[in-house]
Amino acid sequence: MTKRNLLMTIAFILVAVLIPVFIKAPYQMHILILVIIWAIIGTSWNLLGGYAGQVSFGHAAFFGVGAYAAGLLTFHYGISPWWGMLLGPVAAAVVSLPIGVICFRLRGPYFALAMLALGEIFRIVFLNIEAVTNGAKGILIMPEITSKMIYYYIALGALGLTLAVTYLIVNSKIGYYLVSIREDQDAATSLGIPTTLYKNLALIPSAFFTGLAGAFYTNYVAFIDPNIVFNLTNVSVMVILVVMLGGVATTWGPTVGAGIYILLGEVFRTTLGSANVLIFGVLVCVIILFVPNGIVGELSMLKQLVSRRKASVSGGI
Amino acid sequence: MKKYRWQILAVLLVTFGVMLLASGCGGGGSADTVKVGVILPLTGDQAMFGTMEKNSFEMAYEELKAAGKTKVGDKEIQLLFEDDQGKQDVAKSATEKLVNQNKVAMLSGGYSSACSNVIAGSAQNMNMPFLVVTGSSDDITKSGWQYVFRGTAAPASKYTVSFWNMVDEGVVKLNNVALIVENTDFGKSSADGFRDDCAKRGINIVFDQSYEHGAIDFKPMLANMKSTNPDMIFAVSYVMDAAMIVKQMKELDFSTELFVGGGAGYTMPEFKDNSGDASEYIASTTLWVPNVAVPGAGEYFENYKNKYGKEPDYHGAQAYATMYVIADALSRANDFTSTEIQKALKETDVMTVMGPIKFEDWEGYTNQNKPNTYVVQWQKGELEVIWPEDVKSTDYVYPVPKWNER
Repeated sequence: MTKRNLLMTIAFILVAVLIPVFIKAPYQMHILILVIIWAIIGTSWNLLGGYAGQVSFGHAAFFGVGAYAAGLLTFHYGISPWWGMLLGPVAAAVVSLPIGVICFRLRGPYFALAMLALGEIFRIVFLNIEAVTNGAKGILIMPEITSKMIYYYIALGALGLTLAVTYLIVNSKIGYYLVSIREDQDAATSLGIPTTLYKNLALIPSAFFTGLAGAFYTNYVAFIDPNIVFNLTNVSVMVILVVMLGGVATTWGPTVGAGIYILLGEVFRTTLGSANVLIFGVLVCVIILFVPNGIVGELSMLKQLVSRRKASVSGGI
Repeated sequence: MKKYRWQILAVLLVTFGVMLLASGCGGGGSADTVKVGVILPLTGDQAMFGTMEKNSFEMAYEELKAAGKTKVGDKEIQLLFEDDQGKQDVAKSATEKLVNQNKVAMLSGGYSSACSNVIAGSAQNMNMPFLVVTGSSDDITKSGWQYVFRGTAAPASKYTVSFWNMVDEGVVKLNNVALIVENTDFGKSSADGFRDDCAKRGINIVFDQSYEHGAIDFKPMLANMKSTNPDMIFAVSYVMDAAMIVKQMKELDFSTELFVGGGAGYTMPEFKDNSGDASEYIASTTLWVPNVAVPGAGEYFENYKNKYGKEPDYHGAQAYATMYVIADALSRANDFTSTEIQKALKETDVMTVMGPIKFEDWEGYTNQNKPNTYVVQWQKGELEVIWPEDVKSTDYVYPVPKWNER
């Protein structure tokens, strides 16, 4: 980490910690909490999809397992769903293991396809084993905490943990191995990197933190059903958009992407009436066209652009 | 194009910046209005229902305004609509915005059970009165939430009250019934209620299955069902599935003495259009029909049709009636604090196009109106009320003729 990056990180942490001191309005806090939830899922996805190059179309499976771990604790045993914050991530990581062990031995699109199927399988199974999950009727909990500030700091702590662990992994030997696998698996194998093992080492933390976000979601939103938490478009595909928007394989990309995605989505919803979804879709297309590497990924290009503008202005005089 | 793309981007960014500021300044508002937040799915796959409800809210509001009833005390009622896109985290965002940013006096809306659950939970947490329009999950009024009211919608397990009355009067005789429901909150809750009612009367359920919403081929399921030889089928489905099921029953030449739908798809005009003559004699439970003997019901139906060019069904009537309940409660509230509005709602006793509305505590429900339900039957392409006896528009046909004897 360069000195400048370190300063930027400290500044970011300070701002994030101090925000609730200045913004007390619950509505704005709520939006920030949603941003953080998506930042956690995005950062987790990015570790696997961005750095290791293993694209997952089924992160909803991990998200939902985490969410249901928390929900079912309350539903069956009357235990506070906050314990789900411990159980959820572990359950999600356990679920990820067999998929990784089987699919990562293969080349080609098998992992992506298996994940796509996994998300849907979980949705259908959770819909139908009513004795355990209460099926489509979902799980409704009554939250004990009403202050948004507490939720905010818990979510922020979870995001900090996710970012720190991801950063450490990426900047360790594992991270270099992952990038080498992404860039050229044959070359990586010939150098003696056990590719299957290292791909799993990216998948497990990715599933773990997605499960953490899921468990927090249950606590915060207080109602889950299988069609919501195992949703293909609203969770699995949305997380890919968040990461694409922010910047694939960058530390801060998913967080920036989540911020833009949630904030703009909310602004459009409240100002544009029925056309909001359409215009939002157009905007996403425009961003992918103009900044294909995401906002953070194209930072240097954006900077260049600004400096070029200045140069041309002074030259014109 | 390439030359201008950065200019285009700059224009877009400036536009969004302005919009961001504008939405941030949404709060405040004038002191002489009392705001009511209404959360409905105006986009997404439930938009058809959400739009009908929004139109009905606005129609009722205009009528009340013309009658001078939107002025309560020295303040004017103002409706603020929010779109929940049929997603529950968006519903939570909308609730937070209306309560904390727009400072509404009370909330209404709620179409799907999932969204209504989330809005109700948040509203109760913030002590904000919330009047549910459509959300039918039993849990919503079974959680003991004092600030949550449900007037125009029945709990899902109570949609069949009138039908069971028909059975208890000895009109319909049942030994073996088959049950198929879609795998949703509404479908499952309805099925639970139906099973309990069967058990109480010693009726056998010979076939009991749920299916994935949006299925196309029901023939394997119907063929299995046919082999169990039921007297009656009870089905809960949305429009497309409903039409598909009765059409495929006809193709399989599978007749029962009666087919009863549990609301939702089986009463929609689209059901008749999609299934053609297979819809003949199909019965359904419902919460409202335009030709029911309640003052104003027929007028609402006609006015809606003239104004928006489409026929409303019970969802629209729910929204229309809810607006009248809101205006009535606000006119009786001493002031517009949440406790006073809660008190006023609790004391509600008002006549609407959905029948009388009162919020009572019964059978474990809190603030739940005792629903009026009807049994309707498609006869010669028209939806006729056949039960209860005193409001019927025509006689029932039971047992219905077999497909090959028509």
